Amino acid sequence: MASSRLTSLNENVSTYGDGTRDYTSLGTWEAATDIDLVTATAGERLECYPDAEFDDSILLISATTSAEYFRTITCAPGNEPNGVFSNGVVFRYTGGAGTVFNINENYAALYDLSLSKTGNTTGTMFVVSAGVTSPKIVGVVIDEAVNNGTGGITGIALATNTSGAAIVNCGVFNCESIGIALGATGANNYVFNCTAVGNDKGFAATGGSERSIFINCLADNNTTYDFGTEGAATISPSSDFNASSDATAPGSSSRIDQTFTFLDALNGDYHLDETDEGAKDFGTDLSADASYPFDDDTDGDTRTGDWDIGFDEFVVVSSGGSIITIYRRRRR
Amino acid sequence: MATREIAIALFSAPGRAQEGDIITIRNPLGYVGRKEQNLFLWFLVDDTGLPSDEELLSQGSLGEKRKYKIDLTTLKSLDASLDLTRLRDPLDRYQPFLQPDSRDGTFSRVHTPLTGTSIVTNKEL
Repeated sequence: MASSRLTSLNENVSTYGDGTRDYTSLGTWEAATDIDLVTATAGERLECYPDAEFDDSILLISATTSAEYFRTITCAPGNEPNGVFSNGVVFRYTGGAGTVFNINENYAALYDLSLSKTGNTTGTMFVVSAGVTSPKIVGVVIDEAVNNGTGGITGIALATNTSGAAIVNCGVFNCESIGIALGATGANNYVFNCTAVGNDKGFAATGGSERSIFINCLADNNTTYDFGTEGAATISPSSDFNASSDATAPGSSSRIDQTFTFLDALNGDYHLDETDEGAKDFGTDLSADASYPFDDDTDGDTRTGDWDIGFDEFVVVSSGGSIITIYRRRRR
Repeated sequence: MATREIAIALFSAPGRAQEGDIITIRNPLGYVGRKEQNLFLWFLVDDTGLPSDEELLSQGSLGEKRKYKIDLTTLKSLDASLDLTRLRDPLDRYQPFLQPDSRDGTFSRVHTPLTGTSIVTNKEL
């Protein structure tokens, strides 16, 4: 099994939450672990507990990292959102115009957190932004990103200098501007098996020529477009096996003008329903992908058979001679 | 006036955080974590007249980790009892302004907020 959540070698694990944890501020953890991880031959991992909803943000920057040794921010085991915002460890940042998770460090990883932001500015805000080499954003759920000013707010945005980014198994819902925006100009970046619903724009190439690769992505009911481009940017022709509710899904094997059936969309659960005919079994297998191979979904379930499009793999398993349908794991 | 919790670095690393750098500023939570008690100094400030949080936590123009700092010597001038040697000891959980409870990190002592504009320095001015 190839997990989409890559781990650093020799991780030092710290905890985040209330005063019973190691850290109560993302910034202090960032400063305390800002070292040469390659020389130390160790990675740093921050595991967040749902002790509260956190009004916090971070600029992750300047540690010396490599593909083997990097910093990871994720939830404590057992606290994954599993695709549903309210299930996860929630960061709901209200401070000014800043980005909630600003990833400016090569190989950094952000996994399995629920993120939101409200602000009031004339400019564009971001929930997650990255401008580096090979950042990994996996299993993150973003919901209700609102700019009460005249500007917009984008869920996940890659800056022009990003390369080799992997955005996998993420759900981006109800962002006032773009759900996932790829602005890199010089190298390919990858969005695999993500779901965008109810944003102004679902998935967008906002920079670069054919550098934005979307595969197995599901976009539904995004106001302006499900998949599109801004300015002179173009989507890579390698994009395929996507699905949209409008006519914009890129790729010859993609599915346009589809109707999707989710488990409980009214309550923010965008797992595919058993009856779905828009995305279920229409994806392509990325377990041997040359850039970012994986075979799990947002819940950590192994994708089998014909892959589903979007962040969820509808799974049916047998147990004791009976068939049990696994919809999702909801704790609350 | 708004009272905020602030943490400054008590260590310096080449090309990274420097002693006095403002690492975090937030609405008071009333507690700190176990690993935040020896590498950072926590205290309350009145943020009236201070730049925005984004500005206070921004990088310097030459890539320094932070643009704004609060010198320990400035704090010492406000509170002569401050022990700078203990503050700089990375193994000493000395928190003279807000004394955290070792069990849950809650502060057992609260002080009058320091006036932010009189202690915060823009390193580029």
